[in-house]
Amino acid sequence: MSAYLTWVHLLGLTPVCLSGNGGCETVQSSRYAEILGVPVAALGMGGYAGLLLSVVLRDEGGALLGLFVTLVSVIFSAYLTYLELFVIYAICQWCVTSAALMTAAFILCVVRISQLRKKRYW
Amino acid sequence: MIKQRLSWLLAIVVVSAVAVAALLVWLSQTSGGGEEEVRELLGNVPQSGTMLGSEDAPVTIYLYEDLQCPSCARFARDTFPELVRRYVESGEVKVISETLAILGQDSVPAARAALSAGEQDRYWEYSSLFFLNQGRENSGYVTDEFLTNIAQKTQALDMDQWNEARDSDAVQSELDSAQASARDEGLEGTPTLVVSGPGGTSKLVGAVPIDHVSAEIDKVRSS
Repeated sequence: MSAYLTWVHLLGLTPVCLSGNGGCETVQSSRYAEILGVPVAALGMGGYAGLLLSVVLRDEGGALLGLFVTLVSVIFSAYLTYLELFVIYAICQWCVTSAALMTAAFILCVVRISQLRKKRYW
Repeated sequence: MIKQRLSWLLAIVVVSAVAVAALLVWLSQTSGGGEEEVRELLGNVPQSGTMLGSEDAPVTIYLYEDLQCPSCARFARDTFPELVRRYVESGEVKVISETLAILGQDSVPAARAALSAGEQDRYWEYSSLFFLNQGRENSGYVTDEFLTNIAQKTQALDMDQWNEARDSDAVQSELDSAQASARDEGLEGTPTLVVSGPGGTSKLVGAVPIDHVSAEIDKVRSS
């Protein structure tokens, strides 16, 4: 999903938007779609790569990395959702889906750490 | 001991995550607003009303656009800067905006605001900043506050003069003239580029890439 949005952004294409009202294009074309010239979708790709790495790594290292990545993502996604609702006045379904996925991942990371605490001497 | 160490690690991770997220939010707010990139692009290019470039340029591009149009915003972001750098700066092409208000209620105040900036030869800064901050069509984002915010970011724009011009007959007359011209051209959508030169006239519709514009400029440039 992030790879698709990055590709669309870099090539200046119009993203597919299920609702058909152009919300995805408006959001992806806005000034908030980039940070210092880097597409936000590319940052999302980095986040998902970090999340994948956290799954591969065992024990505390992986759990803490997962918590770090998902917590950053949840906070930043909340900010982006605020922008969509109150500044840009357009909803990008891809962004909403990504925010939901990262929130779910954050919850799972918290559960993972709780379980580690019970297993070990936390 | 282990328990304490790992709790500290957890605390460090949470604090670091919040700090990184805060940094990203701050960068998102302070970068990409567009003022600097617009200034850099248009700083040395002559402007007069809605015309950008040298009056003597042999090729003229009439750009029919609506400030609410997402495709126009995409053109402004992806193609227009390259057009300015390759052709307008060198004096080969001048671009004249034919500002329309056809997409809905919000288009009217937007067009008036941009044309008012044009009264001070700041149309292109204003419209470029508008496109960079564009919201969803007819969602109600084009408030007086929004328009004034864009004006405040437009370099060298006298705010009192700009406010006064917004309701003026001169601005209304420009808007009416652009609408009439669009009707004469048989406009199919926005943005529409009518590329005119010694070799003839051609038309492009949509947020076309720079290669398409270059091809049309090459066609019309020589008689």
